[in-house]
Amino acid sequence: MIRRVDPSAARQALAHRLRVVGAALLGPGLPHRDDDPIHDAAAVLRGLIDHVRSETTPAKLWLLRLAVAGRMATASEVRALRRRLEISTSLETSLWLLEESLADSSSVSATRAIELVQHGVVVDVDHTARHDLHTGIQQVIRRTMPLWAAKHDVTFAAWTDDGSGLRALSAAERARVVDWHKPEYEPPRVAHRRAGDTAGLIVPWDSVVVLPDVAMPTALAPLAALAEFSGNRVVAVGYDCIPVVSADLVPVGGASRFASYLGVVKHLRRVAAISSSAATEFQGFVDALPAQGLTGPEIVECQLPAGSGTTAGARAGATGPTVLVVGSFEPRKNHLAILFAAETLWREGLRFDLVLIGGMGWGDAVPRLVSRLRRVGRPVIMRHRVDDASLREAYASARFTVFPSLHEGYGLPVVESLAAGVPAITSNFGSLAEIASGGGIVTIDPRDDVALTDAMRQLLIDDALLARLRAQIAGRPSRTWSDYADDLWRGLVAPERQVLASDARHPEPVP
Amino acid sequence: MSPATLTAGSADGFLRWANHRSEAIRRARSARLRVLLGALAVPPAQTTETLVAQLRERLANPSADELWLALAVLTATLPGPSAVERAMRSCRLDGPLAAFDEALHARSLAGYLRHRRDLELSEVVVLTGEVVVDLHNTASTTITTGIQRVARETAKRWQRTHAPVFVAWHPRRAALVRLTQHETAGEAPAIGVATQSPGADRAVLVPWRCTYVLPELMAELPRVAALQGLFRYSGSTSAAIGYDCVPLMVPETVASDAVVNGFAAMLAGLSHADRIATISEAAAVEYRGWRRMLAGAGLTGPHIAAVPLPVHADRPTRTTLEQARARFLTDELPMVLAVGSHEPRKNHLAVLHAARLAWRDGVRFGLAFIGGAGWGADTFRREVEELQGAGHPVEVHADVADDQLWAAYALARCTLFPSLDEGFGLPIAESLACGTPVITSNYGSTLELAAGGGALLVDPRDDHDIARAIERLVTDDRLHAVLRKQALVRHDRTWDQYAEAAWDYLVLGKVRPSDDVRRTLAAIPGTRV
Repeated sequence: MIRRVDPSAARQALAHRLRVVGAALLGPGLPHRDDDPIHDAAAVLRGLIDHVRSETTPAKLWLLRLAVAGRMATASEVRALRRRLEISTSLETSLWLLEESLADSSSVSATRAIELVQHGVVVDVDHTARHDLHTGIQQVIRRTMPLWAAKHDVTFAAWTDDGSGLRALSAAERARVVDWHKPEYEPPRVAHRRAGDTAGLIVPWDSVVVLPDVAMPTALAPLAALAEFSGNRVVAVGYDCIPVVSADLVPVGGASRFASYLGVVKHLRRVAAISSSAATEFQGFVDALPAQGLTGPEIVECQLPAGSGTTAGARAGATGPTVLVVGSFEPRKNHLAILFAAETLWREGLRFDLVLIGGMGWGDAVPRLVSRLRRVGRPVIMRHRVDDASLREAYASARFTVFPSLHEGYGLPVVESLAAGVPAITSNFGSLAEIASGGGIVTIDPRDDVALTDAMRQLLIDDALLARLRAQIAGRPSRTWSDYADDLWRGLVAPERQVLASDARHPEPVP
Repeated sequence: MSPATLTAGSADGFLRWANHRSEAIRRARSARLRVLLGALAVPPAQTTETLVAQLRERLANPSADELWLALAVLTATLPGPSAVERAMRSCRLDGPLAAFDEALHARSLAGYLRHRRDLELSEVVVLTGEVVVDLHNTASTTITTGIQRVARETAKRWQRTHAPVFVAWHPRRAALVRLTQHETAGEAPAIGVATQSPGADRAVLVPWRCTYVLPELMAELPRVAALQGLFRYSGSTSAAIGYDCVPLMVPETVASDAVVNGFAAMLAGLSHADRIATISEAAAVEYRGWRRMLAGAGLTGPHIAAVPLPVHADRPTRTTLEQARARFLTDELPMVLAVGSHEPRKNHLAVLHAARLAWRDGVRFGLAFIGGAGWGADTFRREVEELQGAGHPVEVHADVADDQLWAAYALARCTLFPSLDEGFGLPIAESLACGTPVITSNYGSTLELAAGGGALLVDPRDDHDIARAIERLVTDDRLHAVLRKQALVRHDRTWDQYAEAAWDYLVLGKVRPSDDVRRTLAAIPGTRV
């Protein structure tokens, strides 16, 4: 649907955008403002093109393209502009640029304002700001960003609905990111405001751009170009590469989306992985890049916190102790193995309740099996939407938790279990093994049904073992979200600010 | 309290399955029981009841492998990992017969089968200790691009020297059937087309403790699950040829999400393979990077070694040369040849711009593109039209037969191929084999090929670098002569040598680092071995 552009508004907006960019690039060379926006735009554009032609850098090309189009450029658009500049006069290039922008910009881009954020830190929290979802990634952001906001000068940003570029957050969106854990916070009743339509763009310039969140599909191409060309130091938090490493364990389509995200990663400066295992995954990807002549980001490790906690002791359930399983219902979480182990133990005569709590994942094998078990009288229940209080209650009642996931970037259910002082059974490789090494956790090969059954049996009958594990949990080194937020800033943002600062002092000679 | 029956099947149900009222079906099922028992080293008895009892006893405490074999033979379909896991659990809880009964009536299976009679009557043959080569894609297509050509040339030679069992996939389900000699040579109609008389079907093959070789791509999801099961539970050694990881590493240049998803599914299967022979050291770098990523899933992945493809060209005839001269050359201008489809990865926009810069500097040459449309080619077409409109000597040729292509290489001053990411770089190899120098990318597989001589290297992301190389090769006769000589004296391997080296590694597990390989390794920046 093509909305008619208001020509006057478009002219004004173009002139304004060019002026903003002109101020940054031309300094005192910026032409005096002409009252007629067309003349003004023409003069500034001419000045900019001449300047970029004489001192061509990828960053300036990127910024110029953005100024004219009113949206962030893609890599092919930046390359096309570079080539056009080499073979055409300034006038021809002006006309070509304006034509290109008119051809594919929406009416919204034509009228968009822009604002540069220079020498700053811009954090893209698009998904967390716009949704009330609270899974792994959102939890990390909602714990870390308030701490960053308190200590550092950061600019939070989301994306416009049409993927044109970054924009500022509304008050409700900002609250969703930094106020979530405040006692007085209440999620807004109305669905997230469609702020995307007319908001002005935030344009990072000589800044660090941090990507800790899930990216919108339409944002991936402009993000890749931002990373490759814009001169900003773009960095990310690396959670895992599950959709491409374990494509058979995710819904169809997950792999292509994630591969597009990796297309951004390969142009990043730095990735802070949340575990050693995640670091290895991203490092493997970087290892493959020389085959296409790229070096890729530096991979550093910033381990998420895995706290410790104590419990007053599990309260017995209806038939006996409670075994708790927390995790979304999808093949990767390996619920079928747990159900098989539980049935084996029930047949041996052991008495315990099995409680499964998790968000709706995908696949129906687990719900069907649970129904069958219940029909023959097994004490197993499945719960989906569970509020924080109920979840805490569930942990408080549990003798131990089971989380034999086949692939994790971290493993928040295990961390939650530890925080509640509840011993856990989990997998003996990857990030889960890393968490387990701190104590209080029994690890097994999740692909080995016998090992899992044995471990569950042990924890059901061996009170001394359970006591030992609880003691280990209490003795675990405690690492807080504050520790993580500081580590993340130090590992991900500070080094890049250094680079920008020293680049500013010693600018590279222009080719 | 009696144990709950969790399994959606029972021993009685299995007995009823074995004693089907139709005699033809009953016979077919008895045959399968005998085949299964034979493969499990149990001399099969006479009656159905005894056969079932023998099975129950033999598989009272089965390994996952043995369950896989049982499911494969009884259902005449190769089970995926989740089917094997389910059977294992059902077997442990309620015994093997209940597990088989459950598997035979599984919803997915029924859906797939729609109770087709041909499946019911399919003969099942267990292959033990054989080398099985999967030629499904190659046998069902007449395309002769890269991967099919490699699979065909290799299969042809293996047929001669080692006579393995060539297989393809049943058109309607996840099962393997034997390919005839004709089909293997690509001379028969597509395997997907119904061949013999209705009702009769080929025997279904179950590879047990074999060596399974996949020299092509597999991307259809049902096949992936079956292959995963085969890799993990058939007791076989599994090996594949690895071409490149483009959909994962350069997804922005791939036409569709479906391609990326199919590729990721294939990688998920290959994570359980034993060996991958990549077609270049650069492809090995990509696969090893992927393998490192598997650690997060607790998998070690396959052994990976490079078995580089051969470099080969046909000699054009005089007639073909004359025709090609008329078709591809403009006036008396030296011809710069760009071969490849017009897709972003081949970097043709850079070729056009570099040519523009060179023409602007007064270098005189014609630019000829040979290749199909690819995708994302609109900008390319517009640029070509603009250049032609301005009078520049550039032509785009599609539908060029192989013999004309060899002629084009022979007639060209040089071949220009600044691709961004290649598994091998076939046009480079072909051009060099014709003695025509090349300009190509200074990293990856094209660098490997260049190391053998005859090439000028450029940064494909730098248009000016490419333009300079064009100028040098077009105007500097001495340089051209030197590179041409280098190309002509290259010692590249032949298809015969490749087929043998591939067999040695994939089937016998022999790794052969040679001097060539070591020198090439040293030449690739950032390579980890």
